[in-house]
Amino acid sequence: MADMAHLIEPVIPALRRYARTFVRDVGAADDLVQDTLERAISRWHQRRSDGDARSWLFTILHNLAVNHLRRTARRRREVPLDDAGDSDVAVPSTQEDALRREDILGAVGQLPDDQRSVLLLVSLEDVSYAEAARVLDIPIGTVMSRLARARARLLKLLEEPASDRPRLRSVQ
Amino acid sequence: MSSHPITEDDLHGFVDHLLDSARRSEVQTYLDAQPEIAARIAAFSRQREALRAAAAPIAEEPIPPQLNVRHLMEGRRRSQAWPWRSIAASVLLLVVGGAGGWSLRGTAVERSETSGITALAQEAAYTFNVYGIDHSHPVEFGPTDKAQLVSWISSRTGRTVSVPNLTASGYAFMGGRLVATPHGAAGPACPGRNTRARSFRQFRRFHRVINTDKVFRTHNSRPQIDSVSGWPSMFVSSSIAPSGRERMPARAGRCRQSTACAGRDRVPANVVATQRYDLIDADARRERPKSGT
Repeated sequence: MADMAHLIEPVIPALRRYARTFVRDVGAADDLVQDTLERAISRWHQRRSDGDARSWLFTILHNLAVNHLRRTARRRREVPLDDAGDSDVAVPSTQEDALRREDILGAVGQLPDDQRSVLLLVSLEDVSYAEAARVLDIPIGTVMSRLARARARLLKLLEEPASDRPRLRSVQ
Repeated sequence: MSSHPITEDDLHGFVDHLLDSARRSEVQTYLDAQPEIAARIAAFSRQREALRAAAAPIAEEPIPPQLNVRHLMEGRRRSQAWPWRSIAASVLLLVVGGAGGWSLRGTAVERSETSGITALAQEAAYTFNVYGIDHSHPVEFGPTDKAQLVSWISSRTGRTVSVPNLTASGYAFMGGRLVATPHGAAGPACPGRNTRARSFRQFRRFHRVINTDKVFRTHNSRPQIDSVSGWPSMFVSSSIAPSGRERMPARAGRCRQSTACAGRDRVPANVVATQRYDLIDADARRERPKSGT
């Protein structure tokens, strides 16, 4: 049992980070992580003993998150005023750092779910391509093509608002 | 340069630092010769760094209590400690359902996590439904095994319990049993018999901190809400159910009223009626001239 806590605990910060960047809703993200942990604890014996606890946890979380998004996709997100977090009502900070942070996270949020999951696992959570293929239950070739599309699209999303800026051009 | 041509996968591997050093230097050489591709790959790398920097604070936040693995494990261990409990509960529910007449919908089924008096009333009702109607084995220990019962219950509930002396109210001790509740091995049903030959069941949760004599003194005088150090007197009435159900409806209105007073409108009216009826009956009896009780 102590073994279980030792293996799960170090992964929790990464699970929260993945959940929050994937679903872009702090409350829902932590709920998903909690569901993940509860499921992991109750199904610990089902874990393949040679498997990595981290990718197993990410697999559980990802499946829960996809279901969550599927459920919420049909209705627009509505938040009771009392429950609204700062991000729901606050005017975005004009501080450049915060703006840039929102930029990139906002742009990632606009990616299709299947591209976003690959990008986050690989770029953010340092999950190997083969491991990502296992977590997402897709062939490794699909991981690579989604990653390529995600990166290309993200580049476009981030560049578009700044299109009126003079572009750097490489000069021979 | 190796004979392997550079692939898109290599370029992403380069961005993600997943190439071995030999392949990495091959890709670097390739990029040095391909400035447009190098610009794209550099943009990918900046993107990656920006994303990591933006998301890093999330992982640095302290873990909130609801995500504490040890708490979650503890919660699960507790719920698994008595695996038969849930089985027993479903058996009880089945019996209640089969017995019919007593509707516990909206309390027991919908609100699985009740507490305080509501929970007590439900448990009393379940126990009554199972044992109150049982004429052959209503108790596990009879009146002659009082000491044995007390020591058994005390050891199971981890609390020293005593059998309240209710003879002054017209009840004689008949025995008791251990019952299952969602909170653990809980209060015994200590059935008492009204001296006027009507049998009553008393269901107590002895694992709760309570001075039974004190409660019953309150019971025997006039019940007052919250008269016993935070325990509304409904506790007392909740813990007693008469086996004769036929007289309950007459008191139902009054019972519901007193339940509302105690702020426990979730208590099934008929259960309250049962308990309340007992109380009124005791009062009525006291009001009459004493006749050899």
